[in-house]
Parts: sequence; structure tokens; C-alpha cells
Amino acid sequence: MKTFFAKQYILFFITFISLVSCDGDDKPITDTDPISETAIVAALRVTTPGGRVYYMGAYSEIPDELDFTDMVELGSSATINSFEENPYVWNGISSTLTKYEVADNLEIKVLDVLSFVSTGLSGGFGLPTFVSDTKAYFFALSEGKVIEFNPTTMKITETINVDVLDLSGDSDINTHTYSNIVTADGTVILPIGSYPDGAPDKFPQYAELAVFDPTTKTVSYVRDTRMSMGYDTYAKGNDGSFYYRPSKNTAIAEDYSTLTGYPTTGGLLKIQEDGTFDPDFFVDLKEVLNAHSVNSVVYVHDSKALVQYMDASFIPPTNPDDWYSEPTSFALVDLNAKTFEPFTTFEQHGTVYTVGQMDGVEYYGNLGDSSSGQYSVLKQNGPTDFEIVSEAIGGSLIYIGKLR
Amino acid sequence: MRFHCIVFLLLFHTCILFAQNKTTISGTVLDEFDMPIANVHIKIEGISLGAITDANGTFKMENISEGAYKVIASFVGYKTQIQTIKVQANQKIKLSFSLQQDFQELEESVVIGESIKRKKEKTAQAVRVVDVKTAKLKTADLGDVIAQSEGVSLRKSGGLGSKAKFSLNGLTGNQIRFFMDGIPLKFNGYTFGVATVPVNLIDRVEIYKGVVPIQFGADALGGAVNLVSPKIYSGFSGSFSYQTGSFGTHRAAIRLNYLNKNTGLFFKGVSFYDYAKNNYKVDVEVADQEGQLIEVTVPRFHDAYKGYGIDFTIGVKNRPWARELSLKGFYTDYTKEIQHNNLMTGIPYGEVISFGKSIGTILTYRKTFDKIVLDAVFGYNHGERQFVDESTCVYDWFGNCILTKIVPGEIGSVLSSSSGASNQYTWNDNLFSRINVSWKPKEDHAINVTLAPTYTKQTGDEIYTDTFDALNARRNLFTWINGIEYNIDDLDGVFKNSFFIKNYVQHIASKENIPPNNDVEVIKRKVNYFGFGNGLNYRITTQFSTKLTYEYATRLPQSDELFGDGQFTLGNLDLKPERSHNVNLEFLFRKAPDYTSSNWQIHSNIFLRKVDDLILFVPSADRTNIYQNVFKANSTGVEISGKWSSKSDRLVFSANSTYQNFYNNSQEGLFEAFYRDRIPNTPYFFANGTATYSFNGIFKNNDKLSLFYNTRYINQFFRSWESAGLVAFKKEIPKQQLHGLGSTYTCKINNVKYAMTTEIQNITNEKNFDFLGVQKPGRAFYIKLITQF
Repeated sequence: MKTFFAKQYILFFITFISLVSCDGDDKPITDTDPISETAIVAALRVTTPGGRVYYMGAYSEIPDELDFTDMVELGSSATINSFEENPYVWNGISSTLTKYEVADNLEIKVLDVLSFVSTGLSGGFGLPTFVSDTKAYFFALSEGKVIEFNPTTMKITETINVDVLDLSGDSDINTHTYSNIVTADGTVILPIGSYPDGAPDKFPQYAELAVFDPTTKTVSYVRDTRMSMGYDTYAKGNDGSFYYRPSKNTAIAEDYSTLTGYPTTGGLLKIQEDGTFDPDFFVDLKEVLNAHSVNSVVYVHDSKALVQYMDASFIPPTNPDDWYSEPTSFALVDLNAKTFEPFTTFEQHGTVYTVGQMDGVEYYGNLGDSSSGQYSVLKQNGPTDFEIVSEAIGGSLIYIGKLR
Repeated sequence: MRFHCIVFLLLFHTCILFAQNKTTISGTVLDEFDMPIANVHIKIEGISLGAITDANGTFKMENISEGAYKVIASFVGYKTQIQTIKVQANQKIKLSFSLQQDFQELEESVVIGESIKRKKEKTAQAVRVVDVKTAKLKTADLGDVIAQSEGVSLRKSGGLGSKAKFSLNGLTGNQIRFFMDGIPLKFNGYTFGVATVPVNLIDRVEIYKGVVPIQFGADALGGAVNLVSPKIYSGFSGSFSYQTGSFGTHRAAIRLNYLNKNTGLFFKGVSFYDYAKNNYKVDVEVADQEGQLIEVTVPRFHDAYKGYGIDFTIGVKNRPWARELSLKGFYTDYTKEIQHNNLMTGIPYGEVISFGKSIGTILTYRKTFDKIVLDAVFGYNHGERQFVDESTCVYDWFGNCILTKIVPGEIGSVLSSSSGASNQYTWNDNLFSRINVSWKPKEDHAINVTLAPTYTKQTGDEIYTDTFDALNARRNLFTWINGIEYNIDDLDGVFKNSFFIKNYVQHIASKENIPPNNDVEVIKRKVNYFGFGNGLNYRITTQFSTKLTYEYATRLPQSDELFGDGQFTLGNLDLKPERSHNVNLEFLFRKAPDYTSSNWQIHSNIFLRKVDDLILFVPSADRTNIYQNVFKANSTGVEISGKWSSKSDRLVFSANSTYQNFYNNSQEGLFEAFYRDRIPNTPYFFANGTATYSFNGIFKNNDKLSLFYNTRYINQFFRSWESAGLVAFKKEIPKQQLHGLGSTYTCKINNVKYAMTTEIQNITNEKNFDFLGVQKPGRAFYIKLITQF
């Protein structure tokens, strides 16, 4: 009888496994949402216990809550962008650009995947540059390559050899590009930034742009020695102008550098349509603010730049790792009058950054409110007028765009 | 007809005679450790009367007529013992046998393992013993062997030499500590982990779940795994094994032992060589020149592993001044090619490679002073790890260099910038000691004290960095774990209890270089914690026993977690110790031993792990993995295992299954969003099953052919937090069911035992994956030859 029981156990066990093994697949999503004529796409960066994970959702309007649990999980490496009616996600680890479609019922579907593996280039973050329905680019300037692809057919059309970005191969400096400006004639302008934190004395003592001419398929590099190297992203003016802005990467290098006599690290330059710096425009924000250093310029609105900076009383901590957690200040600098006024609106929101523009209105995300840790979606109604339009659940909004 | 009548009458008479005789013979059979042996055959020579010992090692025979007899106690794996007795009418005779192990019995040594397994599992410790003696004949590596136990799951990212991470009742990685003969495994030279230890060099595996005895001097949180080496017996003995098979696999191991019983002089020599090309086929997506993805099946081309090592021990045993005094020296050397990132996504690597070397020595002194037993071990080892990533080639999945880059380095290169080439060295120096003192004031009472200090020094160098180099930091870690334990073994083994207290001390001193001028900042930190635990084993009947174990455990962060490993993991000097309440409630049902019919047993364990400040391995795709204190987590679950064997063990079935719910229990900060979510990358339901059928005397009297089948099932689980994101888009590791089939033939020629095994692993060529979704080997054929003398 006992033997029988033991056999029964094994039989039960095997049957159980078989049943579990034959278990049906998860049911497909059945979406019964009504048809939506408008569609916006929003992406969150959620810091999970397993690291950063990116999520993307589609909505008919900005909801009161952007909840990542109802979004599409994109993984730990994702740069989200949209062009025309399609969201695009660049995964630097798998070296793929995925094109999504947002259906009328706002359901997100994968439309196509373009792999850059055959080019031998992969990794990191960098936004694709969309010039038209049929022409877009990826810039791998450290390898002297520009990859041209067709965003409609999602096929690589050409790999263009160009001049290599200076100092990009030096791991102590790592000059690089990230975002881009496409001018009316299709010229692509890429601000150049660097990461000189490993060798502070090596920070480049010039501002630099990479300019890609699609007709000659060449990249030229434009330098300006009125300021030291800034960010790989630009500050946008509400009049459509673009500014080369100072970078905290250089500001921290300056604090631990032994160099003297270099151009200011806290300057602001205007980028012109032809890919040059405006020779008649330069503001030394550091001097205007009498700041210890300037970390960034968030935006320019009606000739007033919102500047994040360390005030003159700041003493760099012994360990550079502590530098990033030091408190910063905000001020609105009048770029014409060279005066400034304190700006406190962002204090409650912590670090604030632009995430996209819809219907001519700029939207901002934050890294978490200083007191509650809440993640907010801010809509800019004026130079100093910001409105919380949504709460992002679980993480920061990093992209928002209108598809239709 | 007359003859039959006479025989019948004689038998009838005999029965009557026995029925009238009240003489009984009873007794016990113990092993060399004074532990009872069940299923021992007791036979009276000359008459057809015998008995089998029960679980307590006792036997009884009645109705024995007067006369002189030889009583024979025999059991496979032990030397037969004979006692001569003289029986008088109505006499009650008590006998006591003490059987010594017969090391020469290779094919029957499974039963030896059973005995020691029983002995260990009957203690008050939360321990399960894995029978490696059977596994020695098979071709699975040690990681897979251990993973066949209930409650154990293994994350192995590929073939031989690949990273292997164990999970025990949900807790994983460094929360499980590995030992060889009570010494941390890495201090024995096996720096590439337990899966690379040749199975043929060990005797058995003890798995301690959640509650770890003080003797290990360990601060494990989830449990400990102890690999036990074979004992040395008088004279020369040894073994040799060679295995070859799919994916260019060659594994050889040799063990030579010598013990001079008169002088006590002994030596042990162990050596192994492993090589695997690991060129098994995987399904990957490759892109054409236009960037369109095509799924292809290709062999892995840069995943080879080579490992070799030697260790040699010399000493004396069983002298008045020392039960053992020995000195061991070892050297191990490993090379591992790296094929891809942790997720097996994107561009593969064609030249990235890592190396590891370890050299060290261990001094052992054991002595018994009346009621006090002293075990003292002192050791030193030096380890070197190197990581090389300096190629300018970019490879495709066909092994072709498709691009020569300007900036060297395959890992960490990004589209618009590069971190450059890397050639990193990391050096470790470790000094350690394990001192155990055991005092038995009474027969059934013992007090044990353990002192276990460990000192680690680590530094390193990045060859390509001529400015600031974080690896240059000089890190010092001193850990001292002390414990005291009180054991009671009362009521004739019915009740066993073990209570212990542990003290954990850790000092960290790190001289960190600060950019830009490599100024030195000294970081110091001290922690001091206490923990305690209790184990209770109560045998309700001979067939039913229960065990309740508990430990409030602390795990101190390890050097790799604090300082990084110089290869794939960044350091985190801010790590705090993690603490956990661990509870196990076990039940064991066992059929009363009966040598004449089939046997069965069922074991179940209900467990709870309640962890604070869990140290979580936060994986990344490349080399920026890091350990972080993250959150509170609970793991609850149940394990069930069963075994059925036919008469004389010709047919044996065994199976086990584990269901565990390991979930985030924190509502603070980042973790609030994942409250009550299962921890990602961790299977929650898995099971194993094996069946073996044996034929005896195929070609010779003493040969045996065993056919075996094994299966493993793992339910599907998510790679990321389960509540995050729409299910349709989430990466899921699919359910997997693997099957293996093989045969082992053993025989004995001129007192030398031979065994040959042929085995097919993953016979259905099922696609199977590690915890992160990396594809593992498909169908594989292996053959293994073993000889033992």
C-alpha cells in the first residue's frame, strides 16, 4: 500500500508537470478603447531595483497620471523619439531602431526593426536624425561614419565615411554627439560635448559643432574659443533659435583641474542656420551671475535664459563623486541687459529638463520633487509660468511628442 | 515420494523446534562514526535465518536453537564482519557490530553515500546531502548535479566554464556560500565557481538551507554548499576520469592518495584539466547590409574555456600528537573567452577574454584531547584576474571581422563615443583561519566554538590608463566571524537540538585614488552584528520525523561586492550587511526499511526567508554590473521530494519540485511601485525527476548496467518586474523542460573498478535559457571513462 502511495506521488508529480507544461499561452491583449483622432506618445525612465528601465505609452491627451505599469516596456537601453506619426526607439545594446505604430485605439504595435549590426556600430545613446520621410541619419563620428537610412522602408541606404571627431578616441575626454538640429536645407548640426571627469586637465578649451552637409556628404567641425566645451545637447529659444550651452561635465572638471587661462566654462553661444556660431552673440553667464560655475541652461525665452548654477560660495567637495549631489541654484538671465533675477519655481521640482514640444508648447520633466519625490510633467505657459499637467508614476518623463 | 515426505517432516520438525526455543539474538550495527546503519544484512551461517537492521541500526532474530554459530553482518560498501557466538536455550544475546567502509566498492558506493547522507540529514541541521557518487559516473558538471536538488536553481549562462549562479530558496549569488571541506571554495583555488569543480574530485555535497552551522565561520544569508573530498584509506588509492563529447569538451581528473597506516604519513594529489570549445549552436538575428534582420542558427565562435589545476597535500594522520597535521598547496589557472553581453543582444565579441589564476597554501592541524576536539586551519592565497578587451575588430555572428574600428575595445564602445581598450589586472591576497573547538562534557551534549578571521587585500591596474585609475585603489577587508553552539542529542537519537550564536565583525579600509592628481582618500568603516539560531530534529516514529530550524542571519558584503571584480562588476563601498530571518520546517516520511521489498521516502520543507537590506546584483548588459542594498524581500515556499526503489534497487524513481514566492516587500522609495512583485530573473516553480533501471551480471558476475533518464522543468518567469508594463511586450523566459538519457556500465577487473557512461543531454534539443534569456546548449552527446583503484 505504501509502495502504491509512493508510485501515486510520482504519477501525480509527472501529471502535474505535464499539465503545467501544456498550459496555454497568455491571452492576447484585447483592447476595446474607442478610436482616438489625436495621439501623443510619452516615455518614462523608471529606476527599478534592477536599474533603469524605459517605458512608452500612447494617449489621446496627457493623462492626469502617466503610469508605467500600463506602458510598453522598452528595456534598459532606449532612446525614444518620434517623427511624423511614428515613435522610434533606439536600443544601443542590440543596435536596433524599432519603428512603432499607434493604432486608432491607441494600441502600440511594432511596425519594423532596423538593425545597424551589419555596420559594426552599436551601443550608447544618440538620437537618430530625421530629415525627411525617406532620409534619416545616425552619426558615429568617433569612427568617422554616418549611416543613412530610410525611415519609411526602414532600410540602410548608405554608410558614409567622414572625418573623425577629434579626441573621441581618447577615453579620458570622450568627445561625442547626442542630439541634432536639422536646418531648412537639410544640414544637420550636432553640438559636441565631452566627459573629461577622468582627466580634468584635458577638458577641451573650445566650443564645437559637427556640421553634416547632406549634399557633399561631409562633416566639418566648427570651433569657437570664446567658451570651453559645453553640452552634447542644445538650449532652445522660443523664437526657434538654438544655443550651445555650458555643461556640468566641464564645470566639474574645472573644479578639479590645475589649468589656468582657459575660456570660460559658463558661456552661451548662439548656433546659426549655416552651422556656425554667431560671432556677435556671446554671454558669459558665469560672470553675469558671479557664479562659481554654470551647470546648464534649461531654455531661452524672450531673450531670458534659465540658468542652473553653483553660487560663488560653493566649495567643491574633496571627492568629485559628491559634486553631483551638491545643491544648485536657478536664475533667469537677461541676455541683452546682462542682468539676472532669481528663479525659484523649479526649486520644488528639483532638476528640470525639457522633454519635447507639442503644438508649439514646451514640456518639461523632472528627476523627482525635492520633498515628495514626485515626478511631474510641466507645461511652460510663459517665461516663468509653469503648470503641472500630469504626474509620472514611478519615474521621470523623458520624452513627449504629438503623433497626430 | 518418500524423499519428499522425509524432507517435509524434517522441515516441520525444525519449525517445531524453533517454535519451542525462546533464544533471541539482537544487536546494533554502527559505522565508524558510531552512527547506526540501516538495511544491514544479518545472517547466521549454516541456517536460513537472517534479519535487516532498521533505521536505528538494530536487528532481532528469535527461535534459534542451541549451538555455535557465526553471525555475519554485511552491507554493500562496508567490510563484512563476522562474530562467533554460542547459543544456549532461552538465552538473550546482544551483539554489537562496527562496520568499516570498504573504499574499493565502487559500484556499490552509492550505498555508502546513503549512509553518510542519512547521518547528516538526521542531525538538527537544515541540510540535504547530494549523492555525488552516482553523479561521478555521469557527465553533468557539478553545477547541474547540485541543481537537481529541491530548492536549488542554477543560472548558468552557457556551457562549461560559463558564469553559474545558484539560487537557494530564492536567495542567490553571494548569499549562498561555497566551501570545500569547510574552507571557502575560492580559497581552494576554484575561483571560477562551483560549476567548474570536477565532480570526480569530491565525495558528496552538503546543502545547508538558510541555517548554516557555525563550523563554516560563514556569514551566508541563503545557505551554504559544502563539497566534501573523499577520505584517505590505508595504502594507495586513486581514481582517474576522462570525459569527452559535444562542443569540443574534454575533461580529465586524477586523484592519487597514499596513507601509511604505521607511520601515519599520507599524501593526496589532485589534478584536473578541462577544455570546452562551447561551439554549440544558438539562434540569433543577423542583419543584412540594408539592416533587415534574419534569424539564423550559428555556432558560437568565441566561447572556449580552459581550466587546469593541481593541488598536493602532505602530512601525517592518527599520531598521538595530532589527528592530522598537513600542508596543502594548490595552483589553478583559467581562461575564458567571452562571446557576448549578459543579454546576448547586439554585436558579438570576437576577442574579449578573461583570465584567472590562484595559488595558495592551507595548513591543517587536528587533535583530540580527551573530550575536546580541535580543528585548526590556516591559509594564504594569491589571486590574479585579468580582463582583456583591446581588439579593433567588430565581429559578426559568423566570426568575421566586419569592421576595423579606429577606437579599440569591443565592450562599451558606443555609437558616438568610446570608452576605449581595456587590459585590467586585479590582484587579491587573502589570509584566513578557521578554528573549531568541540567539547563534549557529556555523551549527548557538545559545545562548539568557532573563530573565523579572514583578511583580504585587493588592488589592480588598468594598463591603458596613464592618468586616474580607480583600480589602483588599495582595499583592505577584515572579516571575523565567531560562533558558539550547544548541541543536545538525547532520547536515543529521538530528539536533537542545536542552539548557536554568531558574531560578525567587518572592518573596511580603502585607500581610494581621487582624480585628477590621484590624491588618496582613506575610507574606513566598521560593523559589528550578532545573530543566533536553533535547529530541532524530532523523530516521532521510526518512519516519521520532523525538523524545525531557524537563524537570524547576517551576511557581510564580500570583497567583489565592495571593491568590484575588475572585470564585470563595479565596486560599491557603501554596501551595508544584509540580514534575514530564515525558517525551515521539514517533514520526512520513510517506509520502514525492508530489504525484501520496495522502499520509499518523502521529504517536504516549508521555508520562509525575510530579508532586510537585501544586497541585489543589478545586472547590466556590459561591464557596469553593481551590487546594491535595495529593499526588503520575502521568500516563502515549499519543496517536496520523493524516492521509490524496487527490491534490491533495480528500479529507482526520484523526483522533487519547488514552488517559491520570492517578492519585494518594501514600500519605500523606488520599491513602492513594485510592492509584492516577484523578484525578476528568478524561477518560482521548477522540478526534477530521475529514473534508473539496473541489470546485474550482464557479462560477468560483478558487472552492472544502469540505464538512467532525467528531466528538469522550469516554469516561465519574467526578466523584469512583473507588474511593470504591458504583458504583451514584456520579456519572458519561457518554460523549459529538458530530458536526458544515458547508460553506465561498471565492472571490476583485477581489483580495479571501471565504469563507462554514455549520455545524451537535452535529448529533444529543447531551446533552453539562463535567467536572463541567454540560450544554452542544445542536444549534446558525452562519453565518460572512470577507473578507480
